[in-house]
Amino acid sequence: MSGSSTEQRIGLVIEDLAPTRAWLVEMLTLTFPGIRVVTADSLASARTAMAGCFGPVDTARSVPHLALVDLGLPDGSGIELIRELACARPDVMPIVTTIYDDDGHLFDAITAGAQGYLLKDQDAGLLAQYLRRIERGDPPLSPSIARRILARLRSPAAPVPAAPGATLAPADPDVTLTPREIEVLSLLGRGLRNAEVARLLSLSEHTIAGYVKAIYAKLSICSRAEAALEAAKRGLV
Amino acid sequence: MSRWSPSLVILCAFFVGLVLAGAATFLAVDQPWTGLRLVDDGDAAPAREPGVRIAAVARNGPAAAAGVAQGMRLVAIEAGGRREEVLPGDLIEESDMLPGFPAIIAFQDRQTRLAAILAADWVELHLVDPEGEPIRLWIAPADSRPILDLPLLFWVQIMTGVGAMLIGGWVLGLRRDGSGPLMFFLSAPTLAVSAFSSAVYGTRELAIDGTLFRVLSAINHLGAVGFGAAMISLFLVYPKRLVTDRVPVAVGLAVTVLWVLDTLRLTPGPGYGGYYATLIEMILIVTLIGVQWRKNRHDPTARAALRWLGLSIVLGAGAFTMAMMVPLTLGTEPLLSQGMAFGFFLLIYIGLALGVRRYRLFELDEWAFKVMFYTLGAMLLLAMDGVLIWLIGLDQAPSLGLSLIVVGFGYLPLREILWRRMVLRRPIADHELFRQVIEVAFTARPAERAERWRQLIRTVFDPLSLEPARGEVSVARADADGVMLLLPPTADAPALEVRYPWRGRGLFGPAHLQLAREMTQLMRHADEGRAAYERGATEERRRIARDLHDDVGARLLTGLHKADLGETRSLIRGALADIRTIAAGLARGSMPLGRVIADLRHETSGRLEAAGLALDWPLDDGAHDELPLDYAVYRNLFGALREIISNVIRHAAATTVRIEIRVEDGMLYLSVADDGIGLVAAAAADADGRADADGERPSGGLGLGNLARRVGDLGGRIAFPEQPRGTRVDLELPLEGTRPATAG
Repeated sequence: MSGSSTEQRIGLVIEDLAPTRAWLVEMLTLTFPGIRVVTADSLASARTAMAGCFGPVDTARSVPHLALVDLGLPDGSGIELIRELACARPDVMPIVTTIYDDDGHLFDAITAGAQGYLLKDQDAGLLAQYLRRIERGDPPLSPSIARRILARLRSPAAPVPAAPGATLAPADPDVTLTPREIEVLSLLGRGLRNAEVARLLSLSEHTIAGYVKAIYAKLSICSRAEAALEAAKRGLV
Repeated sequence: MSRWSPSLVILCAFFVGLVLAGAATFLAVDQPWTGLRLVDDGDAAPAREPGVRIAAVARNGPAAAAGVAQGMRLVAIEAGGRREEVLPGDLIEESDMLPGFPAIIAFQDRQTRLAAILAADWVELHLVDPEGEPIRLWIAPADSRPILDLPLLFWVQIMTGVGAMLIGGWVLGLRRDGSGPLMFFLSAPTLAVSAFSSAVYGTRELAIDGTLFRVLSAINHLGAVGFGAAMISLFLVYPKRLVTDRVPVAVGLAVTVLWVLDTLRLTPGPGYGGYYATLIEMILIVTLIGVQWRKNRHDPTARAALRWLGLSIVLGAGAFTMAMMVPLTLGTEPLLSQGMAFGFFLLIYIGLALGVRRYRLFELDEWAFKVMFYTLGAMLLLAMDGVLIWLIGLDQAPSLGLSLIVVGFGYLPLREILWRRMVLRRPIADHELFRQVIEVAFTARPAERAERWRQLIRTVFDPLSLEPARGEVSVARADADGVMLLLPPTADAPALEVRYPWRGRGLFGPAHLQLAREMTQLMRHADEGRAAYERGATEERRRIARDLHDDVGARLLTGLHKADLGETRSLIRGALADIRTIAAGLARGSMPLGRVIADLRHETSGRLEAAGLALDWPLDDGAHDELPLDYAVYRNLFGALREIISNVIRHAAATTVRIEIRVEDGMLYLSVADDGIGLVAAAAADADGRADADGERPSGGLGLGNLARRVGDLGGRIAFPEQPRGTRVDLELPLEGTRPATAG
């Protein structure tokens, strides 16, 4: 870690509903004191704002910048923006904000590179708590998403019909889950929370969070492309 | 004939016409031939000149070979010691022109003698040259007359007869359901035999055997009076039926009797069975046209048809009568050669064909021509085929190889293409038919669906006419001897009347009927399926609308009237959670139990965690994870658990909640227990909340009372068994048999 941790972190809120946007801004400033929040209400204005506010890519940051991205924007899907961010700005953590935890859209967002998701109708305290957890690398995983991931990655014989925009092949050879990851995913898929899974598997909650984070990373197209690039660089492939 | 396709009827009529024409041609050709064209100078001839003038001598004929020249006069013929003078009267076209039976008998006897002499191997011609010098030449008459020597008069009559058969067959082929077309058709063979017989004796070189003459003349008479009878009968029933079918039969019988008497020469004179009779018939025809005209004064369509048909017949038959019969009746010379006058009859039939297009004669429409063209096209193809085969057969020379190559590479493929285009029926493959039926069934708009169904029928049967059926049709059936197919109302289209399949080139057979039945049945099944699907979708929509109104609406309304912002927010969150569940119900009709439990557990543990309560929910064995839960069941399960948890969080003052879900004997059991202060105390605490709500619904929006009612609607039960401590809610819902309760 470099000493740049003291520099100001930036939060980007992309949301077309003004009251919700204001509320999210408030949430961010309350949760992360000292954060500078920039807002946008469409994909276009978000791109403009991104170009201006983040500055040069700085992968050495101790705390990432945050981008809260609504999926249903007036000029397109936030998933596009998440993909752009995930590939171009490793120092920005894209997080989906949504009202419906519809697994199709969330799954696509995660494969695009989202690091977590927030349900906008949650209680303020709860939302802050989730936000902090995501930022720490403990992203949530709803049962339906866990099930979808399992279905997609574990049984190539019975592929889930790909949602529009999904770029992950039904049996992607690049993505393989470890037996432990599968175990964790199936328990999460049955509605258990991280703490319960940890208790059941006699592991620490922190370890479970690590598995979930790893699953997120494996799904993200950009990080997989990067890993492949890295492997090629090192002459491993 | 009842099982014949229109094309086949036309072809048969035409073929019969051709056979008769062939027989007439054979008779005309199968006569001794000298190669002379003889004419009667009549009044122009000098009285002192004997015999008849030789107007022309066939270049390759026996007469030319013997030295006979144009301009000489033939005075007599002689063979085997028998000599006959040649008189101008021997050349008359029609023996009817002679006054009285004795003259006819004498004439026919002379014909017999002349014909016998001409049949000899050598015949001595007594001639005079233009200077009046007698010449005697020996000729050897050929056994038969070259077909090309037959004069135009002959062919005019043959064409008239064949043309009449073709058009008569056409009308009959397309309309076999009335006596009008039948009467019209009958006029064709009568006209044909009349014309053909007259062609044979009328264009003879000099003489044919008298008995043959008499037979042919009798046939000619039968045809002539028969034609008149057919026309009279036609106007007795068309356009308006004036009499029953017995009258035309009686007319036919009367005419037959008259003919028999005439043939046996039992009438006072030849005119009674000949020109008097036809003249009277003509008068009757015109009278009947007048009667029809008056009877149809309120029917402009019938009048238009009558005007045209009547005009054709009066002009055609009338002109013939005027040119031939009237002069004969008055005892004067006919105005025109009888053979030529027969051409007038062809006018009737050509007129009729034109009238079909314009006036829908016999209710035939434009499509009637398609049948005719296809039939003629197919016929032409066959004729071409025959001619080519004949030509190749003739050519035995080395060019045979070349011919075969030309035929093999050029003609046969062309013939195949033409045949396929004109005659072959294009069948539709089963899978293609199925696909098309399904496509029709699932066309969204009823009008479009009806139109596509018609289109499909057109594709399958290629009919000439497709119209709504008049009567009621409950099941597909063929009618009118296979010309018509009746289809029951299908795919929002009315019952259909399909006529003349394959452009009139075929009939509906049992296999087609079967196909039509399968199609309508398939369509009915597909229709029912779609209707059931639509009913289901409507039912689903109504249920979701009700859920939105009852649950989401109620929560939002309650939230609207809450003074406390925290409570309002909590209600709005509840409403959003409801929307989530309803949306999931929209996306899928049912959800597997495993997923429902997982979602319930996730939501509940999140809420309890946020409220600081512990959850004790043992993981089950997952045996029933794949059991599908209907929307109605899981919707209520979510509602119930949300409501119960809300109550526990708000009022129970508990620390731990214990939940269990299990499936047993088709029932789903949910048990929620807390370690709080118990239901009675909770209800008392809730009383404050109820006071400012609408009185019926507790502050939760849905309320336990409402919940109990909904669970009851699903055939389930909710119970609150006594607990030593805290509250326990037991809920049971049947997994099966929830449909009747929801189909309201």
